[in-house]
Parts: sequence; structure tokens; C-alpha cells
Amino acid sequence: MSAALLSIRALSVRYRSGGGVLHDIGFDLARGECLAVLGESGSGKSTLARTLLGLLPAGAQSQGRVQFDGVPVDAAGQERLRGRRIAMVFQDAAASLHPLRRVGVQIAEALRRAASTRSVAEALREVGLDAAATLATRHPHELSGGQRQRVMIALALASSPQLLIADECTSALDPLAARGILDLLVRLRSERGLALLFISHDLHAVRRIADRVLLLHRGRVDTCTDRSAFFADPPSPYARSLLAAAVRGDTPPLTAGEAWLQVQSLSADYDRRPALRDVSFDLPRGAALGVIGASGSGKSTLARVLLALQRGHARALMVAGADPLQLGRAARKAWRRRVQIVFQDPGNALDPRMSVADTLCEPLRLHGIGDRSSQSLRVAELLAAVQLDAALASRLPHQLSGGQKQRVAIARALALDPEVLVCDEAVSALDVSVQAGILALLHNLQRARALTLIFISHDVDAVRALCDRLLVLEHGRVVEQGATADVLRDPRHPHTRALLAAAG
Amino acid sequence: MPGDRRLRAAILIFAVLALASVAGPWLRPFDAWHTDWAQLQVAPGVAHGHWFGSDAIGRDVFVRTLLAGRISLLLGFGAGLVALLFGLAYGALAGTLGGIAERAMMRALDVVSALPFLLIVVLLLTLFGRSGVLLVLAVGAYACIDLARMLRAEAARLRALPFVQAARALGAGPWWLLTRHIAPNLIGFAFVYLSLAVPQAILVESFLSFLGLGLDEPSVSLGGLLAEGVQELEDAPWVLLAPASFLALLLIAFTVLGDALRSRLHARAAA
Repeated sequence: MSAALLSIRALSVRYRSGGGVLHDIGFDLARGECLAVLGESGSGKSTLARTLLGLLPAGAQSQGRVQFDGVPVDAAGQERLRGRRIAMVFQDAAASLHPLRRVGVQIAEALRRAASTRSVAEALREVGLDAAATLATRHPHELSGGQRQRVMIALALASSPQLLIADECTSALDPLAARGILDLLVRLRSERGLALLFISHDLHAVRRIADRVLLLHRGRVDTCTDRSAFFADPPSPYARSLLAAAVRGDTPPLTAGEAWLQVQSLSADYDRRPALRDVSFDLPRGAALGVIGASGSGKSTLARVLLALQRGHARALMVAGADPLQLGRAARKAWRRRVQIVFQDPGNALDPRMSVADTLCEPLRLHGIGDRSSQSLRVAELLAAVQLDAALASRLPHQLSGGQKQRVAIARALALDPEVLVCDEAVSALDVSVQAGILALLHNLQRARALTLIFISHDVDAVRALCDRLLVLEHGRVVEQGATADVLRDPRHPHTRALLAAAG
Repeated sequence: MPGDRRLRAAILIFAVLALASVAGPWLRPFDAWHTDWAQLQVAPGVAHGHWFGSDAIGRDVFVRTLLAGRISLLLGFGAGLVALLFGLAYGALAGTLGGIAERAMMRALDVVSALPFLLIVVLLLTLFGRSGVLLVLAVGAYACIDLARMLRAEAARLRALPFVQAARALGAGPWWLLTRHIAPNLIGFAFVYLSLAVPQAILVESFLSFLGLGLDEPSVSLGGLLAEGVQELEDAPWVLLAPASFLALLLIAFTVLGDALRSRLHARAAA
């Protein structure tokens, strides 16, 4: 065994304004090894990656010793190593590629700069993109998210690096594409003997790919141990709480009763292209339906049609006692009190100029419910219902954390006492431990208020814990539906099986 | 940060010019139209009291430049305000409504912007006579086209965001969305683009005045002075240089100001 490829001792990073981000980080990475850096948002994962590449923003200072291949690395050394012996893949491949140049040209340029003798076709084939197709002549926006990420990896590999830093490189992808990228990274490791620093908050991905796990918590190393030891017997209280948050409860029992949602042969467009075709399902009152599918499968379009936020055509449609496609304006406004939605992106879920109290009062004002004093009572009630401190009422959205914002968004959706609540990827953008809290909240609210819940997600675990029924969409069509327990135990459609395999 | 230093310099230049054009003329003992028969076309100097010299009929260039700057600023801000009000209303409304209404409103704007602006303004000014109000409205309408386009795009972006969609799902109609969510979130954006629209308006107004379509004495703007200065260029270049420098400084200060505000807005949006 040769000496470590990358060796870090007593590394600290602080921003001139905000204080320390990383404290006393130390670890070794052997040749060909995969070390996963696991941590929630704000734990300093990305700062660590940037420090290694010398890409810290102005105003940040780093201290400590970094050795690469036995040689101490200073600022000039980072410059020399970056993009040559150390390469990096980011979360947002769309932003990292030149939008106006064909991907083949971009790869050719990277190969030329690295004085590589390989051809573009070889480079593409290595990352699992079929070069025979017209892929090299396409522009980045003509590729899927997974394909773009593969192109990014091909670019990173052009200079034959020894270390690849992957910063949340699967987080923006749906589970199928993410699984493909993980498999690719595993293969590249064995073929090229590439060392991987895999930065992620995704426990599934880490479990699949890592040899060792480095857990960061508030800028400090909480744990650094073998993968199997980490998952079998979490060595610290924080690691235990993180793993416990990810393991979720059992599927609730199947609900029966009068049909509260009836969808027959629903079709709808997204961006003038058909997004939903011939979708049919029934949902009894008080049931929870999980909708899963890859990105582009029409999940969000379904939510928007059910909420009457966009048009669609259906042979028959009934949501909470009315057909949203047929309602007149006044009737629809009254109907909206009964059907509400929570969106994915907590960052944009709230009007940046409105305080929490104003946001929660808005539905009441819209429907002329109550006066000033009863409205402020209602705000306090709603905040309590989503387990937020009443003192947050005067805050503006930028003063809240992601989880708090999402709780406010849920409180807003509950303000009118709806009967149907649609959650469109409502927890996907949140950290695991925060997710668990929101899921438990949704579960309790659903029981306490007899809500009929439609939970759209690509997270099979969340659906398993929350929903008694399951609907699987592929390219806008329903490929499988039934009781969650049955579908998960015995998936019949190949697409369902692929989704479940990717999530497991 | 260097950007901050630039911004401070721009604000300082702008403040000095604005203050000078408001208070400056009172510093000197001359009226704008006072003819100093003893000092016809004197070069700039301190001894004879005409700091920036005098023109062919003995009028003080310093006082006239600052008074003209006052008129230019007034017309520019007036036109900018007109552009802001109409552009914000039009763009935000189109962006909020979306669909066919949005497309129709934007195509109508394309038609207007395809018309030869100058021709129309000349027609209007000759038909209805040259007046300050008409000038402000015409230049404001011209600047409002770009502003409306940019605000439409921003409003459409806002409309697709979850918080606006959530308000729709709560039962909010277009008017509620426009007044509670979209317009308030557009204001910062609109003011940044206003800082780019005002210098544009000043420039267009100067151009019209240069062609003789501006206001008459005593409300001559910088463009009018430029036209006079050109006639004396060979004998008394200072008659042209003073208003030209004032205009150039003003436009540069505004442009830097607008740029700095815009990059701040984008930095905040990105954060």
C-alpha cells in the first residue's frame, strides 16, 4: 500500500465576515479509494471541496496542511493540480457547460488541452453515452439531466485525473438517472483506479458507492469510519440521529370509503407538449396517494390540473365534490378552499416581501374570513399546528431556514381547512433530518384533519411511510397503481421495478 | 470593493451636477438672458466674472449651462417617471395575465416600437406645438417600451414561482396577484432600470432639442445649448464645450450608477 494520495491535516477555513466554516479537518484518501463526505446543508461540505481546488470565494482564509501525492500543496500548487490531476463535477451540470457550444466540441477542446490522444467518441463511450448517436452534435439544453452530468464527467476525465471530486453530483437528478451516474462512477473507479471524494447528503448514494464515510457536522469531523461500520453501528449520536431520520415507519393501512377524487382518462399538456395521457384513478376520502415517477413523467402536471392551475381534458374529473375544469369563477374560488397545495422549492414558496404573519393571513383575507384579531389568533394556531414558534410570525422568509419555510408553506395551505392536500415534492429539497420532521408533521395532520393527501415524490421511502396507495407514472401514463404495500412487495411493471431498484 | 468606489464616485458626480444646476445660477450675478455688451464672446476666466466665458451676444455660459442642466434633468426625470409608471403597469399586467392577453400586449408593443419614433414626435410637436408636457410624454413613451419588455419578462418569471402559484391555488385572481405579489416584487427591479431609462430620456430629449424641437427660451435644455454652441464653434468653442461636458458627465454618472445598482440587484437575487 502506497502513501495516501490526498492527506489533510488541521484544515480550517473562515470567512472574514461570518466566522469559521471548517474547523480542524483531517483525513487521508488512498489511491483508488472512495471517501464519502456526508453532511447536511451548512455543514461545510462544499467549502471543503472548494478549498482543495483553491476556489474559495474572496474573503475566505484557509489554514492547515494539504498534501497531494506526497507533495505539500500551496495556492500555486492548487492552480497546477486543478483540472489536471484533481478534477471536479458539480451538482448543476447545466450551469457548468457552455450553453451555446455542442458537447462534442467542448469535449474535443478539453481533450486537446490535456494533450490526450483519445477521440471524442471514446470519451463519450467511456461515460456510457452512445457516440454513434448524434449526441456529440447536440447542445447542452438538448440533453437530459443525467446525460449532461455524464458529459461533465467526460470533461473532468479528459486530463486523466487521479482524484475526482463529485459535489452533490446526483442531487439534482431523478432516482433513475442518479443510479446511472453512481454505477458509472463505480465503474470508472475500477477501470481507471480513480480516487473519489464523493460529497453528498444522500445516504442511499453514500451506502452504494463509498469505502469510507466522513461525516461533517457544523464544520467539524463528526465521524470518519468504514462504510459498513458506519451503517451497521453508527459511532456517534449525530450519526445515529441521521440514520434514524432516514429509516421511516411502516405503510399505513388501506383506507376505504366514498371516492373523494375521481379521475377518468385525464390528459394535459405541459409547454404545449403532452405531459399526461389517459390517467385514471380513484381516491377515497382520508386516503393518501403516493405518486412516483422519473422527472418528466407528468407528476407536477397532474398536481397542477387537480388544483385547476392549468387546463386539461378528462372524461370525468371530480376533486372534493366538483370538477375543477368546469367550475365558473365564483364557484372555483369557493372550491379552492377545499383543495390546497405545497410546492417543492422552499426558497421560492413564500413571497420574499411578506412576513410569516402576512403570508398566513393572505388566504383569510382573500376569502374575507374573520377580522384583524381573529386572523392573528388563527396565525398563532396555524404556527402551532406546524410546530413553529409563534415568535416567527414577524419574520421575513430570508430569516427562516429551509425547513421552517416549508412548514410555513404547509401552514398556509392549511389556513382554509382544506379537505384535499397535494404535496408536490414537498420534502425533496430538504435535509434528511428536516425531511423526517416534515413527513411526521404531514402524517399527523392527515390523521388529525382527515385530509385526503396526494404526495408526489421521487422518494420511495417517504411514500412508503406516508401513503396507503401508490401510483406510478411513466411518460405521462399510469403504468402501475394499487395499495402501496402490494406494489412495493411485488412490482409488476418493469419501470416500477427500475424505480424501486434505484431507490433501494 | 472597487464596484463600491465607482458607485460612490458616480453618486458624488451626480450630486455635484444636480446641486450645481439647482443652486449654481444664484451664485453668479447674471441672468441667463442678460446681455453683457462689454464682454461679448470672452474666453473662460475669473477676472471678468464669466467663469465659462460668454457667447456671441454676451450671455454667461456658466449660468446658461446650469439652467439648461436643470431643464434637462427635470425633463429626464419626468420622462423616466412616465416610463416607470406606464412600463410597470403595462409589463406587470402582461406578465401577470399570461396566455393570449400577454402575447397580444407584447405584439402591440412590437408594433409601436417598429414605428419611426422621431417622425411621430416631430409630427406631434408640430401639430400640438412644442410644450414641456408633450415632450416629457413623448420621450417617456419611448423609454417605456424597453422598460415594459423587461418588466414583462420579470413578471412572467415571478408568476411561475411557487409563491404566486400558491396564491392562485388559494383563490387569488389576476388583480390580487398583480397588486400583492408581482408589482411589489418588481419595484426594486423597476428602479434599477429607471436609472438606465433616465439618462436615455435625457439623451433623447437633448437630441430633439438639438434639432430645434425642444423648448424655447428661457427653458432651453442642454441640447438647445449644444445647437447654439455648434454655430460659434470656430470663434468660441467654450460655448459648446461647457454644455457638452455637463451632458457627458451626467450620462456617465447615471450609467455607472445604473450598472452598480443592477449588479447589486442581481447579486441579491443570486444569493
